[in-house]
Amino acid sequence: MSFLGLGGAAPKLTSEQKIQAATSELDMVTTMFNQLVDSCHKKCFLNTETSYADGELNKTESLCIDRCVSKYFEANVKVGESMQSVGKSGSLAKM
Amino acid sequence: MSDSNPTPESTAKTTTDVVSKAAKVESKGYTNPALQMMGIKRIKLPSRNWMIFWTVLGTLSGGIAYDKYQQQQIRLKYIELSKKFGQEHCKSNELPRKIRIYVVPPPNDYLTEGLKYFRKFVKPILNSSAIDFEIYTEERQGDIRYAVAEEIRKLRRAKAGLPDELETTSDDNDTTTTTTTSNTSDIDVQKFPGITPINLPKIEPSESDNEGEGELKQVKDLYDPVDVLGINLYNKSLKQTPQIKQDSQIVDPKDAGGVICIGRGAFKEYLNGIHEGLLGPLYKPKPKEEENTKVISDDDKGDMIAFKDEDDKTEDSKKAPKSYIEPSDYSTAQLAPELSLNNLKDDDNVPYFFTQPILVLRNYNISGFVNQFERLRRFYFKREQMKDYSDSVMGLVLKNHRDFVKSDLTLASQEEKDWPHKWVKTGIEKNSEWFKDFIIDDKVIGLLSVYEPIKTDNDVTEKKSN
Repeated sequence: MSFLGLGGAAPKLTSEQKIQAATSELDMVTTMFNQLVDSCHKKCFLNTETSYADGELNKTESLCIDRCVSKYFEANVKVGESMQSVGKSGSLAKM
Repeated sequence: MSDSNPTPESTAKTTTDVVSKAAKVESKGYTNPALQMMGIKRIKLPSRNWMIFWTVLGTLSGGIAYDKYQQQQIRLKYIELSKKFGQEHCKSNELPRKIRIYVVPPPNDYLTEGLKYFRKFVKPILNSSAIDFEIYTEERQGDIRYAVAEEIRKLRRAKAGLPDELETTSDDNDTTTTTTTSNTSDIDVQKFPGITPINLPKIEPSESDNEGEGELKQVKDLYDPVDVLGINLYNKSLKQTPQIKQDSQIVDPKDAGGVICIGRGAFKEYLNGIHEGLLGPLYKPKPKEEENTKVISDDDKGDMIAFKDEDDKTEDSKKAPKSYIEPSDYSTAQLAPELSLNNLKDDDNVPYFFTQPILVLRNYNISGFVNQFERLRRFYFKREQMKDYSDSVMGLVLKNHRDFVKSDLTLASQEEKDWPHKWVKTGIEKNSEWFKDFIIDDKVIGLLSVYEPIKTDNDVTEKKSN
């Protein structure tokens, strides 16, 4: 946007833009959360033969949920970082 | 039977040669009019060569298929046996039992080969009995020994209130502090309550140093997943209930956790690492320069060069860091004075990993031209290996432990017979850790224990599987 350092600082965001950004951010987070719940539920509860036979969580399920959620977030963070670097440099950074 | 057929008579009218040939050919096999009407002229066995081919192929592939089927049956049986442990109730703030697994690559092979044993023979049982695990691997000999020792040293340093490094380089410190300050100035906004990411767009464009590191931030620095999900917003009590490790609530400290060493080398390195960590010094000892100079002055120049080379090699990144203590000094060293030996538990009240019982599993890898038959036999009888592994792992699942005795040093030592001679030779030449004398100390042995495999009766289990 600036040419040879001219052109001043980055344009200030109007409140409308801010709200838009916030909305999209919230959208992203909600989508991620829903996908997380969906996939982990599928993996840890629907596949097992004893799904919903018991009111409480058993060890296998809680272990599965633990692993699933942490894996999901790890992957999500990795992808997010990679996308940030793509946005910055225009190419995929080597991890 | 062929006599009743009409065809030989018709062919017999031609030359006698043909007759004899045709009789020969058509005497084999079986036919009848109904089959002929359907277009099947004659049912007969294939030729001799085809017979050989199909028999060999059938036997070989049948052997594999049978072995796989038996493996599956065994796996299912043990999964079924250990299932009841996985179905115990578990509160949402509880963490199930956790074990560690040390895996080494078999001789002359890759780490994946060692991990295959874990994946096929151990993991299904652990998963069905809901035991959490953490895998420690190595690519070069000595890494596990160093990692174990370093972990113990870290514990001891923490207990003694000492820093992790003796000499801290000032440059490194400066850079880290600068980066952290820049980060905090950027994320001041984060301190606001509620969902943080909404505030993020404010930060990004206002910065003039877009090319700096400030723009690329790790997502986990920006917000915590728990904050985003709004769990804490409505469920304030959730954050206050602490996580409880089930290993910490066990009466007998030997019942908590566990350690699996896959491969004889892993077992050796693990024990050596425990010795090094518990008996050795807290920090890396300075090389004994006086001795070195003595040696050099005694010998001639050629040896000096050789000595230098050796030193360079030890610094090389290809080798794991040297042990901080020599086995000959074990008997005179004091056993970890920083740790209170009456209560060997960490901050979470979980017994230290080096006091947890050990399960040693051997590798069945074999190589070499002469050993091909044995290798083939093992390939067709993998179910025996699986049975062996499963029984041992069941010992871990059922916490069937006993104290460590001196004869336990030979655990999985049958594996050493399979190690290739050439590999052993180069290992001894290079002073490899796996071939040094396996020296242990009574002070350390007192802390250790091992898992005993549980022999499951074949008949009983077969009935169960039916």
